Amino acid sequence: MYPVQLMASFPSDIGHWTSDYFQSRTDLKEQNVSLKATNLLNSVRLQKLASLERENMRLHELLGSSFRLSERVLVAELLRVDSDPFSQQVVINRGERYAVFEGQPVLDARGVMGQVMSVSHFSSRAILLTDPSHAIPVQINRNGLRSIITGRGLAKPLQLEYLPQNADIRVGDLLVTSGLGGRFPVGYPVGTISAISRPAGKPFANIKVQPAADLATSREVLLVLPRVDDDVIDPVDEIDVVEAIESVEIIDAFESIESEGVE
Amino acid sequence: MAIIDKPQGGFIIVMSVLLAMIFMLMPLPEGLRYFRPEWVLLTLMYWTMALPRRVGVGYAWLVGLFMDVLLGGTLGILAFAYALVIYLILHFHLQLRQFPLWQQALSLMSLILLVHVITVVMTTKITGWHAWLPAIISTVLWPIIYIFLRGVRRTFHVR
Repeated sequence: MYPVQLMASFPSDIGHWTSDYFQSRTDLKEQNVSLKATNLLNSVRLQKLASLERENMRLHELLGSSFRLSERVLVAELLRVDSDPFSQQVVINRGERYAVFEGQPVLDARGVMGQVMSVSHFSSRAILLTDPSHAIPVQINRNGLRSIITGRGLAKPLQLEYLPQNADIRVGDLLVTSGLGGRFPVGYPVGTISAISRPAGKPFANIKVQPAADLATSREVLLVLPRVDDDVIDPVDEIDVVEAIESVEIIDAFESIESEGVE
Repeated sequence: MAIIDKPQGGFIIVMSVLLAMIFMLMPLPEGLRYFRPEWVLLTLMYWTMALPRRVGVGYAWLVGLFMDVLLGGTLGILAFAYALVIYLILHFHLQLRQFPLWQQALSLMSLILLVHVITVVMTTKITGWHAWLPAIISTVLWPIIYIFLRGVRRTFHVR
């Protein structure tokens, strides 16, 4: 199937390539300036992040629990291929050769995009958060309230399920992955609450969520790799969350921050 | 023309179906996503009508299976739908050949709609009114595709 997919994406690849090639010098200069600015901002934030991470780990140590902080990722690109317009899927140019596996979380620069659904040798197919058959366990970043987000189809906001009418939620709350369920790593942004309505006579509030990731426009995606040094985590089988968290040593986490590398 | 034609040009049929598959996958602008004609189905329909002994239910089933994989649907649904539609065309191909092109297009529209009904009933897709757009676009484009493929068939002597 990969050759057919490659052929289908070929014309738009060429278009992309030519527009890249003929980009004017001033455009590039402008882009360079803005990239430098964002890079500066990011590295300033990163300085702070390192110290905060250490502080966080010390606190967790005091509390007697260990904590997983960073994951390694594999950078992949979307193939310019359309799927069925009525289900939300994308095709990625990494497959079995790069040890992509079913259920692997897919992120972009801003947040969670979805997870890998099927893998072939050279490419794999990921299902997006907005697909009506996708659900992801999340918690509210502000107060740790746990729930589940389900997709509602293209161009419709996600839905936060099973929160009672009187739950402590506000418009603008950030939702992050909770790590329960074992598929997604803890703490990646999923979306922000965009609207809340509390219909009378219904047990649950009706909460709409705006996804954080650029589901429609992202080209580069990140595939989260399982930690190779943990024997407990078998990427193919279901992950036993409790065991996995307990088995990770804090020193491991330290080392992986320092040697963090994006492939 | 000999009484019994030796089949020839199978390669052309396969290439046309492959090309149709590539057209099915080719990215369209966001606004046009729902307006994609059913290239593969139309190509199969043409070949079945023109050469009912060569392209039949088995062929359609295989192509449908490929389309299931390419579009990421549930395996077997398009295979079933394509096989059913091609069976109907095989059954009525003598009548369909006699129709003027516009009438042919309208009869094929009902078959394309059948494919969509099957996929909607069998999957959990969220659909709206635009689920029916591909059938209409395909109907409008049928005369062009018919004339084009007939040209191909005659040029390469596919029989």
